[in-house]
Amino acid sequence: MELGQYIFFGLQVAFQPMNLFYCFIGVFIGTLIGVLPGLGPTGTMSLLLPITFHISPVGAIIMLAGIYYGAQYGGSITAILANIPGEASSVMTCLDGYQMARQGRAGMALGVSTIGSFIAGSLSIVGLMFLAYPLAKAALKFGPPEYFSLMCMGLVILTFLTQGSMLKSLIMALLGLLIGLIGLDSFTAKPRFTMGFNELMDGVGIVPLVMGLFGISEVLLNLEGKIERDIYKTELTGLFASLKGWIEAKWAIIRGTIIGFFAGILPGGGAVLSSFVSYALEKRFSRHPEKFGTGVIEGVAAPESANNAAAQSCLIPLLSLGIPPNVVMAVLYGGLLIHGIQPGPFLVKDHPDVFWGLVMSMYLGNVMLLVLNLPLIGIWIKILKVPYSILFPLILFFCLIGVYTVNNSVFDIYLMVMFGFVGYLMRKFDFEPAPLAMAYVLSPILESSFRQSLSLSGGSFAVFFSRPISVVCMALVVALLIFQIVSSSFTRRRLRNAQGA
Amino acid sequence: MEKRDLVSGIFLILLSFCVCVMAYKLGLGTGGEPGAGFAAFGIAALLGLLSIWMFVNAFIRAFRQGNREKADAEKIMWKKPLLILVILTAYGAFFNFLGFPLATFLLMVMLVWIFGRRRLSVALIVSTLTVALSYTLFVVALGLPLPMGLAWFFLGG
Repeated sequence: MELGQYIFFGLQVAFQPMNLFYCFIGVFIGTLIGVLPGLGPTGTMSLLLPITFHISPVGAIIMLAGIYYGAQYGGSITAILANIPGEASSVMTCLDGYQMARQGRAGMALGVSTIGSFIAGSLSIVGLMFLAYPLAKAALKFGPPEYFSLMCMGLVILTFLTQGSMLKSLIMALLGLLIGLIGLDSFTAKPRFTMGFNELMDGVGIVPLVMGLFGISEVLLNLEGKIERDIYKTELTGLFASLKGWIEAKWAIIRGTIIGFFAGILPGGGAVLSSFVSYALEKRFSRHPEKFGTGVIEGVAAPESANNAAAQSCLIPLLSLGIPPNVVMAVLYGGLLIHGIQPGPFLVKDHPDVFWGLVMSMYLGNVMLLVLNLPLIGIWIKILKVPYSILFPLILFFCLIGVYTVNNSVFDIYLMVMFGFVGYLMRKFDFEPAPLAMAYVLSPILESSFRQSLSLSGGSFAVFFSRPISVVCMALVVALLIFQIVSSSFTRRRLRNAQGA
Repeated sequence: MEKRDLVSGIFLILLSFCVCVMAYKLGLGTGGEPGAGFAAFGIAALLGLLSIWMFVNAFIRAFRQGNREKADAEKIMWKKPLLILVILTAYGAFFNFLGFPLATFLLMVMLVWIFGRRRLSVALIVSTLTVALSYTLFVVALGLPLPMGLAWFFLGG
């Protein structure tokens, strides 16, 4: 089939009434959790994973993806009106968005943010369509050494990009790899690290792990402090912004889209990274950088466009290479596996309905989000007023029921509670949970490609340094590690000198 | 910060040592034919090395700082999070015995009260609504096989 035929086929899949319904549910829930601070798309997607068992794989993936890109839209509402980032990717939007709201320009900020997000999201899908397909074809030539190196590179870049210490992130990634090895060894069928629990023979489930690390621990952290919600009361006029506003925002939207698209493809990238990078670059190249943070429209348009572009483009490495570039995609990866679909180069060939149906549904999802976000903004503001004393117990309850229904097993509840506690401690000890979750997902493929590579080469590690793609990835891994070691020792020395002076 | 790094460093070193021993027992195999413990041993060894590095760094920093920044770390509030974790674990432990409706009702009453210190009437209303709506959604609409426990017994099921 040609590309045009695939697009038409994808539209047929996406327009099926049930898939339209799942797309709507996905973007609706996405907007909802985007509006409500506390539970992010990672936790929500893992929360809804068990429910997707009862629906078709295409519908399930359409819904889960909708949650992620829907959350990017919703996050901006809280950022602009309450100065609270509903999502981590909306942190930068707070800076200028809230200031605009205080100046009585909340409508303009919300309008530019929503329509800019729509433009960025739509353009990013076009990029996804044209890049994922040829990339998947090229990836068919990848062997185990290439896959191993590529995944190593992804993990190292992720640890490099996470906030805080890279050493701690690396430690978390290694811990995630070890957790991923729990269960029966796929080569020898020997049980590994199961501690005598039969429930662990199939390994640690993705749902208890992700829900514990991201859902339960988030609620536990919120127990400590009171989240202030000072919703700015203002007339929401001018949602479609003035001509002057659009002229000021148009280049920011375009630049944000381009940056977001490429930041999303990067291993370790995604909506959060893209919004930070685009805001920094927008400020750097602005004619009035001093005005950033005081309520300039570019400060809203750039990060919001970038995070939406990235939320769609990060599907490229997942769908075409089978490598999730961030933790949210790792959950989606788990969702695909649960439905018996292996993401990667064969996905396009073996399950064109999933691939093209998802891509085309994202167009429709963006249109739905436009409708959900602009005219219904009043409803989202009302939802923002739900007290946390009711919201958090409900989140915990849904986590418990969600995790139980995966295997109808109470053991999974215990596992989730344990990971919730581990996640809470990790954050208290300044360890990031994202590298752990991503490494856990990649662990089985990483190990099998590692062992296959060694078997192919007769035990020689040179196999990872003798094939072009593998060499490039490994060189990048080594370069990043050296750069980090050198830069951190340089920083330490400078700090010591400053203290001594 | 240093104190926490020291504690987590020791924990991770011990953990990596244990995993190394377990992986060794599983069998390392050979380079050309790696065994079940091969990758795990390598990962755990690397984890151990990085943990030692973190520990040593934290130790040096703590030594240099002396008593200067002893009060830097914010206190971890154990009480409420631990209470929540105990309640969640108890929910799992009594889930099959009490059944989904009763266990959920008790869970919600306790959680709403702990999170908001709200009046008992509010907690009761929220809990009843949660049970009713979740029962309709999960059991009636989605047909999930959730245990009915004591309620089922009294109803003669």
